Amino acid sequence: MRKHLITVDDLSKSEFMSILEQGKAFKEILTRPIKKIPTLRGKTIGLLFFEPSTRTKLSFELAAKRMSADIVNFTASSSSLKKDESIKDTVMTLDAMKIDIYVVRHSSPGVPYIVADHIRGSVINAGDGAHSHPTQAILDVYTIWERFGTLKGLNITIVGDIKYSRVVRSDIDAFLKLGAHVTICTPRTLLPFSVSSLGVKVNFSVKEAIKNADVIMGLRMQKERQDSGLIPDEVEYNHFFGLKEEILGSLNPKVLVMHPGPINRGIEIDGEVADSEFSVINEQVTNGLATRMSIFYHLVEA
Amino acid sequence: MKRYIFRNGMVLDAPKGFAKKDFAVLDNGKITFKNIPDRGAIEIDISGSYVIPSLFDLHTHIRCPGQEYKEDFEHVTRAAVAGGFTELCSMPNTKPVADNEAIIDYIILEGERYGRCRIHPFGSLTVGLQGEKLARMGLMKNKGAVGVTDDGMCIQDTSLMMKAMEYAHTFGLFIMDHAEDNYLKKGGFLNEGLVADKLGLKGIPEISETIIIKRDIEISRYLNIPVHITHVSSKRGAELIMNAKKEGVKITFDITPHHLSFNEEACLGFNTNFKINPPLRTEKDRKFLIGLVREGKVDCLATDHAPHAKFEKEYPFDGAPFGVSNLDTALSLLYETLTIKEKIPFEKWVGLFGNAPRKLLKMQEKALKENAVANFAVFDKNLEWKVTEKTLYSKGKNTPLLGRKLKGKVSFTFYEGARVYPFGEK
Repeated sequence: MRKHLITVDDLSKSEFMSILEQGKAFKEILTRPIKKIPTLRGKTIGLLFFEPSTRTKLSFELAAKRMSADIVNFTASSSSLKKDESIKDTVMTLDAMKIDIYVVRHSSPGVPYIVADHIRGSVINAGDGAHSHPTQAILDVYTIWERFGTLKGLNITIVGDIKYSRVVRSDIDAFLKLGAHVTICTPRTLLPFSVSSLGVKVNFSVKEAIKNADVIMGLRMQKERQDSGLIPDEVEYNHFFGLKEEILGSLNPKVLVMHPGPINRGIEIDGEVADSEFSVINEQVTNGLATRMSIFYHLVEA
Repeated sequence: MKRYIFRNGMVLDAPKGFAKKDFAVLDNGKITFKNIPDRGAIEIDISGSYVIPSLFDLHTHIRCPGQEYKEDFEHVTRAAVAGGFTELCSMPNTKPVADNEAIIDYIILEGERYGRCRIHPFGSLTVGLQGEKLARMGLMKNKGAVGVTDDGMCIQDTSLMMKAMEYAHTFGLFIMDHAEDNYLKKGGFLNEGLVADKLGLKGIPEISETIIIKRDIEISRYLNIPVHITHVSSKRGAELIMNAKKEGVKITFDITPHHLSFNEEACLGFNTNFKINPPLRTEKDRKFLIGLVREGKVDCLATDHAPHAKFEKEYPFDGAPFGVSNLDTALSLLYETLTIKEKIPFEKWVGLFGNAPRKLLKMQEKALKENAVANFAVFDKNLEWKVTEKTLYSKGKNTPLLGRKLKGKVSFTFYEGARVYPFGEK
């Protein structure tokens, strides 16, 4: 295991599998009446959230607490960054406090690398701009792997706002690494320019894109996307690229419907789909906790 | 429905050309060459007439809804079939703009109501043709829009044009552009050149067209998305497109009857019916465009039928609106220009007004063959007629041909098996 987890590429296939296997054990712990284990006792985890986040931060924080780590929080609004202190200076100050693992989220791609250059501990990327979000990819992989036992040969269809999504980038890397076939479905204005070299199929019709899918993943339509004029409006988007109630009839019983959350009901996914028996959206949240515990474990063990 | 027998006509059997054949239209609306009935049919001798698949116009300003004082469904569909057209593509600059599925639906249904011809609406690329926000192209396509364009309001923001093309391409929509740089065109009324100077009117430079053609070529190449340039008016513009085609860029274009028939000198008498956008260019440009038709290098023809109320064209040249009423006279005028004057055989170009645009839009082509549903026009090449306000069926009488005699006229039009022209009892 390497010292940092900044992109999915930082993990070999066997490391990936090891995180999944260990995640299963941690998930079991989460079902016990007493959910705390001593694995990270005496370790300090710094949560460096330069960009607002509720769910991801909560998940990391709870994962750390379940493993008995000490936590320090650093958020941009309450920091001296407002006074134009550079990231480097901020991080060096924190490092002087002997923090073991830094969980970093920032709106600019590449910030976790800057952090990594100036600390002695490990960095976990909790999302940097549109670049990467490896822990989301790991929990997504875990959710699929737990159900199917493998990703090899599975058809995974991702529907939604792909162009600036760090989730998709990391998911695609992880899914392909583990042998799945990936189809993406979005208006052409929301496709990344280099889509032809990503190794995925593109389909502009949701109906066709999900035809043989084992996994269907919806993505949040970000408000900024509409403001940037890449789609006309939510009504048309929902009509053509929403996961609508009509799809339910055509799905085979084993299909998983996933979404990284938070969901916009009636835009990228209808409530009937999000709440259907196919949906594992809430399961993903539990798996996020288990896999983040596993990631901490692997970084400390390294 | 009545049965018809047409005798001695020259029937177009593309691509072989015309052949003299008798044929009938049966009760079921289908054409037969083999089973011509002995009786119970109206027999018509059409010696000296051509029979062609009915015409298709890629570019019609139907003006409705919203500007019924210029043109309405009743008049535009009459003018169409009197001119041999059974399919029209309506432009989105109606009031309200055809930028949403409800207007598209309305235009199709209203067009159907008259039962003479089909209207294929184009939706706009941007909301209100404002060049700011993408229109609901997907929902418009679902309701029957065949293409998208901000015709007459060319998108100036290159980044937005790219987004609009990418978005339209998501739904496989045909993308058409009226190539015009607003800044270069601003305040101009006719081609920039000798005539404009002489008349004391500000000109519209050729580059206002070519610079956007060049831009669209680059966008099309970069995104690998087809684009169609409508009413190309200049030699330079056409040359740019020819060169781009050689490089493999998926670009197509059309030319109008007026750009093939007139040049800027027509404006010398301040006749506002020659005030057209893009403007009539020089004789050199016109000759070059004719050469392209002769060489079979034009993708299709389009009327850019732009009817206006009489009073509007009675304003001074700088105040009158752009546009010419075209549907009634397009085929006759082109017959005069291309076949009588330029000696280009009818069969060499008439398809450019029929199956060529159908092909561009991936629609079913019409053919004069056994058992085909009757969708054809009979063009009497010897029939002389005078263009007057009364002989025009369009509400827009704004054609420079008023008072002129033309040789050759559509005498019958059949649409989906029924006679739709001449009007009256079928």
